Amino acid sequence: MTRRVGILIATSAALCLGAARVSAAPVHAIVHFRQGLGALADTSRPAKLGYVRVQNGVLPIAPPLQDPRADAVLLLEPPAGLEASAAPPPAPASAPLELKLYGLRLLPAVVLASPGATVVVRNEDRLPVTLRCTGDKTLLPSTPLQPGAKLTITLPSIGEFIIDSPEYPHLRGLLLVPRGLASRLTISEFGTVGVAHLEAAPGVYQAKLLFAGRIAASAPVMVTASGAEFVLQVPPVGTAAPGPAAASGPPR
Amino acid sequence: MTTLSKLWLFLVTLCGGLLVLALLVLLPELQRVRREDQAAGMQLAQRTASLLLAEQAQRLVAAATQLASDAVLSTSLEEMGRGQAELAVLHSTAQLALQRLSRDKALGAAFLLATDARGRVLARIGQDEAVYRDALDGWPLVSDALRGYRLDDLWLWQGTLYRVAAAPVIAPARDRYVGAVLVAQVVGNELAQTLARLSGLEAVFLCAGQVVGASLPRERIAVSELLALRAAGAPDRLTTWPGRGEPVAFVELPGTAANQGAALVLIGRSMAGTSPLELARAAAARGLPTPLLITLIAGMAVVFAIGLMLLWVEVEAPLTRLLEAVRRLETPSPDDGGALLASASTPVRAAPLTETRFRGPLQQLARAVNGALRAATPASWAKAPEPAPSAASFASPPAVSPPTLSPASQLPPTSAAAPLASLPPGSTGPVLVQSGGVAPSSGPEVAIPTPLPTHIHTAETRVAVGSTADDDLQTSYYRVYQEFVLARERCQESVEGLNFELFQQRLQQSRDQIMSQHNCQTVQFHVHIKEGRATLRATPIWT
Repeated sequence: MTRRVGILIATSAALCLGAARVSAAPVHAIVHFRQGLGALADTSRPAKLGYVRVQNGVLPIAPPLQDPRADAVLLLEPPAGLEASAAPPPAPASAPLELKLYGLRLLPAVVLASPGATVVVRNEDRLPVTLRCTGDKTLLPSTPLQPGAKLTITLPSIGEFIIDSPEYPHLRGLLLVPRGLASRLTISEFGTVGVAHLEAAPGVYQAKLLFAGRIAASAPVMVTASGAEFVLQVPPVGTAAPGPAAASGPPR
Repeated sequence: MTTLSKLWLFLVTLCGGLLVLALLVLLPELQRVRREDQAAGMQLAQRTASLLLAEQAQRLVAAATQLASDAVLSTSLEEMGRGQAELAVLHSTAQLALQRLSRDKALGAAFLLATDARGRVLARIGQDEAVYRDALDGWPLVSDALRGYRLDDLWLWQGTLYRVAAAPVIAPARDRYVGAVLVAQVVGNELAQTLARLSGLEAVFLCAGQVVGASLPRERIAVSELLALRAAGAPDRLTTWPGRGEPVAFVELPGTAANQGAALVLIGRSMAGTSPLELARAAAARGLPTPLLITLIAGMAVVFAIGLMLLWVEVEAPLTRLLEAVRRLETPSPDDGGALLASASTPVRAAPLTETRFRGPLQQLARAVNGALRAATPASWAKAPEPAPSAASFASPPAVSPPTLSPASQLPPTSAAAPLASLPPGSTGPVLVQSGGVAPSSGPEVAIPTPLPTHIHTAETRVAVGSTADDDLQTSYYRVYQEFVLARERCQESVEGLNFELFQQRLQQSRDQIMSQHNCQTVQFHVHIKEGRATLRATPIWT
């Protein structure tokens, strides 16, 4: 195993050194959402909502209002220690990113940002909400954000900043400053396939799919000078069968 | 009776010992049984509380389903989704429908609301009724209901814990969901008191580190201790409150509020103040101890009680008689003085003086009786004139002290039994004293017992020798002589030089003198021990 890792690192280093002179290659990622996605999405919720949860028996269960596939993010992370040369982080966006609080949920649920980016959080609900970031307690004020008010935060560095609320435990958002490349998915009409296009320097990467607040699938990817194309299965092949809450449908 | 007393004493001691032993063995067992019962009761209460909460959730979901089937609501929400109707009119219509549906007092709803298919509120009752169009789809309950689920959840909303049930509203055409109806009940003091009534335990609802409902006053709840106790171990477990000894059971509550630490705490009663009787009652309710052991203990208790009663009868009855005599002496009369004296002196002699533990009290009682008799003696008896030597007194011979007789002529006919004559100082002979005259109608003589030296038993201090006119004088004199000799021996006085002829002669002279002085029919002599010395006492008899 040590030999394989050594070869991999050596190959990556060689490709990265070459990448300084070679332009970024296109990377096409195809995410196949399989049956059982609903159960996977439900894992981000409380284990048991109440004492009773039954279907109405008149109509079939509809897809969720907020499809977690819309917030799915593909991450392309270089091996540890090579991130600086292999995949420089994206430049800060010129316009500030916006995180909206509406319907006692954070929209979007995942915000992709670069280090030093500015994010504006706006409360469009009718109730004051206290937000907190457990990873960085200085990121958000401890006072409630009043209805109609907004606050601006600057993300300090690479990392995942999970935002929640002590008053509304279901409320959850993620400010993601990825270590490598990241892109949202374009979901097909029936929601079974998502596609992401990235420009990455040749090298070895680890592709991860962030879905419903967790890494739902992961695979190693080697990007050559001509680019790369790979497929991720979600849930991965061989995992648990779909649960009763499984439902796939078009995102709204 | 003495044998019986000792037998009963043995039985009482045996039964008492066995009873104590049985209790000593039984109490720890009862406490163990009580602890097991308490643990089982706590577990049962946990399950009961969970079942009750689940059952109430079922009923609330059923109520929400019933509300969601309302045609007015369904139509209003469908129109709201289409966006073609006036929203304010739809709001008023839906609110009226919710008001009508909320009149069910049995539901006890804290608030009701209806949302459209996107989770926006169309109308609400019970909370912020004027507000609508705000979105609630962020709540998992609402989003699930809009997908078609009937379910419930627990919300901590503005400091109050609510049980909220939701049901989807289906379009009149039954082709899609057009909204959801939410019904909420408060999980607070009322529910805690209901749980306390059902389980016999105190119930406390905790959420977000504070008490949101309790069956006992809030000031009695140490929230920080409960939270620390809960954090110390696994959820849904039984434990004991340190320092208070109260058993505590936690019931984890589900729902969104579970992320804020929502839990039901059941607090039992500490066993520290439980009396053995309560322990026995609780054990008996469970069928323990066995009926054989109960019968054994009851039998021993009965024997113990009977033995104590017999002992009481044996010991207390004579004392009671004495006390009655004392009470009677408090209001004495000359007629019953002798009878009282007899009754008072009898128990003293009959008391079981061999029992050391009774000797002291009985002697005290005898002294009390003596004192009472002295105090109760009529003045005419007690205040006798001081005895004075007279010419009729015998001169004591050098070796033998002959009886000294006080002449009756110096006494009034009704004088009491005070000593009439005494020996001169230093005399060792007997002293003959004359008692007061006895009324013709009164038979018994009157004598006042006096405190005696401890080496002389009370039963030997007074010996009466009957001497009536019909008796043979010679025999009577000899009987008095015998008693006198015996009395002197008992008083450890010398009897040397005593002879019956001289004794009889002097008694005869005294008798004649008294009869002439008092004009009585006969004279009765008594041997009397006074202050450790034997004396003679003469009593004129007129009958």
